[in-house]
Amino acid sequence: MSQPRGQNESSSRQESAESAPLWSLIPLADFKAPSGAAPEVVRSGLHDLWRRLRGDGLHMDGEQAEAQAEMERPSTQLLDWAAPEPDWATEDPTGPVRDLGGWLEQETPSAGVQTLVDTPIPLLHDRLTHWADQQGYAIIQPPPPETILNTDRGWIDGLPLDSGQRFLLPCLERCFLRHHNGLDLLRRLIERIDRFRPALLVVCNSWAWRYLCQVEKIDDVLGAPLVSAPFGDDLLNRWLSRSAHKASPVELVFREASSGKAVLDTIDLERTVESNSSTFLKNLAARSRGNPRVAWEIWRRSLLTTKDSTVGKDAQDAAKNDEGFTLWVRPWDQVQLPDLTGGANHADGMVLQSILLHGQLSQGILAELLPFAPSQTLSTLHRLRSGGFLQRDGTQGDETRGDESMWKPAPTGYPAIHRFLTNEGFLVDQL
Amino acid sequence: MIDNFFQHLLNDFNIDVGTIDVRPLVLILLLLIAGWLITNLAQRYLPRIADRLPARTRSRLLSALPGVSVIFNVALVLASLVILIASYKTSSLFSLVGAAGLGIGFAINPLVTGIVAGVVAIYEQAYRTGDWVTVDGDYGVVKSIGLRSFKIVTPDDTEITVPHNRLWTHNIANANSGNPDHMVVADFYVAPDHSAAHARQTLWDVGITSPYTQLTKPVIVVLHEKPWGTHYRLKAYPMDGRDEFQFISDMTVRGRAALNRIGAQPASVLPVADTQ
Repeated sequence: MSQPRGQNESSSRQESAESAPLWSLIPLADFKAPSGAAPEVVRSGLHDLWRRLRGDGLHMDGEQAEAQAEMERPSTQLLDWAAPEPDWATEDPTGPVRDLGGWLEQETPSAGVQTLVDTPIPLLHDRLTHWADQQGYAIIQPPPPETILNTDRGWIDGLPLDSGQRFLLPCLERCFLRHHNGLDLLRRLIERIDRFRPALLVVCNSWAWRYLCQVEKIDDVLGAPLVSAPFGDDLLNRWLSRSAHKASPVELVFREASSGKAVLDTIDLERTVESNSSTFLKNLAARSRGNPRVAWEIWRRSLLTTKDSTVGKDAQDAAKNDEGFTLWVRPWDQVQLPDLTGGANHADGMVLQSILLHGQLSQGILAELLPFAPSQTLSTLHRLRSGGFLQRDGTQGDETRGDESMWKPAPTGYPAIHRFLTNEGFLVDQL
Repeated sequence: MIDNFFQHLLNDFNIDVGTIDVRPLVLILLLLIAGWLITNLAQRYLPRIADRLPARTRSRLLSALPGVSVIFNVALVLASLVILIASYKTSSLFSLVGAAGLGIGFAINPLVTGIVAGVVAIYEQAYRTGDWVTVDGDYGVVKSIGLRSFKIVTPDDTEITVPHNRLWTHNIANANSGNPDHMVVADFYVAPDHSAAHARQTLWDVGITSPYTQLTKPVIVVLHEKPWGTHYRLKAYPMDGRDEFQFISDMTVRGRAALNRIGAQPASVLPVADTQ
């Protein structure tokens, strides 16, 4: 049975869009974070100003907000159908290297160094490590922080950079510390890289890259880096639609709970495609600064239960003819996200910047880097964690070694941290 | 009641009250009181509001405050003059202004010179709210600028009131001149037996790794050879000028530790007359 012409065209367009890769690399200089819808930009600007003038505390208690979100959240099974968690180590594993053609094709001795810059909510680190491991690359593990502070050069001397292998250095940000003893090993490493010019992929956190470019002019030696292209609303639409389509046994239709506008394009090729008409994804892309990992966390938090009381009448009318299961999305201005505006001080900024600079830090090392009493640092860390800005990973401390758990930025809190540090005049990254 | 007060005042100066309508005077008085109130409220609360704004916005707002305040007050005075001129005959006006001016002029001559100096200071931008200034040996941040004087708060949290007319007789050193950034210096006195190049690099590392440092501004280490050793000056900009003394302390603590680590010992004898 032949399909109507318009339907054929839209189906083939969607098929070709479906087959296009989601992930690509672009030069850092070309990176531009997506911008939000104009009304939302104005609304959030006024909201920020009001919060500053009122001098509010941290926008919400992370645990309280989590509890509230939990009450309104769909069941875990439905969430896993609608927004399944990607395996960040294997998600499109060749994505990060697809645009490295020239570097991959060159003979090992002449390939040289290629740098990639990643965000503190990493998109490249896990996938590149997984891929390089499969390809038999030598993966250079960063030295322990104590080795960096003691400027123990044994770590450098043990690196076989002249062995003719291909290498991956997956986290340059953990090869130094922002401490007066913390740059020596990095300088030696850069000297060695410059001397031996190994076939080396270097992945560096965007905050560390900016810092090292500023103080060490590292880009003069390591060259212009590549970054993962930002996920604007189009890419988010394709990615989230595709994930839901793959994971869910029933067709899902995502609609804004207030207006009933479709948030994602439906993916069913047998039906006429309904384009998303909501600005939700545009605002989501802007808020997440094009980082799909941040966007996914916010997206999952935005999905609502199907209780009719939470859904406007217009929205219910719009969903009357949906063939699939309708899942409601919280209107953008009602999405509860951590906010530092008006509630944080300069010392909080220093703690956050230090953690972003190195991707993750233990409380013990943080106390070495910051001019505060350890008790003050500890209380700041816990306050920022309860506000939803930081999360704690790893083993809990024991009596002999102290607290070795790592503090890192929480994905949903990261955009607020970025905005706060930018406004307060800290040196921020370019992503 | 105010009407009665003016009637008595005019009687005292032998002005024919029968020919003068006092309502414009009441209006002018109310205008001036309102102006004084608004200016004082702005001086008191705008810096507090500015404290909650981003660093760059804060600096701009505080810098603009005195100028806006002067323009506002000058506008009020002009408005008062217009009301006077429009309301009275010239002869009555001259009598009124002459009588008031003579009395007030004698009473507040120092105040007037202070106000004039204040206007000049604001016009020349010698200091603005938020600037770090040294006046006659007193160093601190300008907290507010009034009609007659301005207030600075020292690092010891002591408030000093400085009359504007100090401008005529003293140098006023301004560390940042309306910019959010100002350079601060940490001093180190090192005994002769050390590698100066190594010490200089070490102190530079201290500057670029301090969490207070504004990294978009230069970090500089200069040194002077002295009979007792070497005087190092580590110069950098704090991200927030309000952190100046914590910044200097942080650089000093870390600088001492770093110099000690490379074997550079502090100078043991520092001649009193040669500390610069």
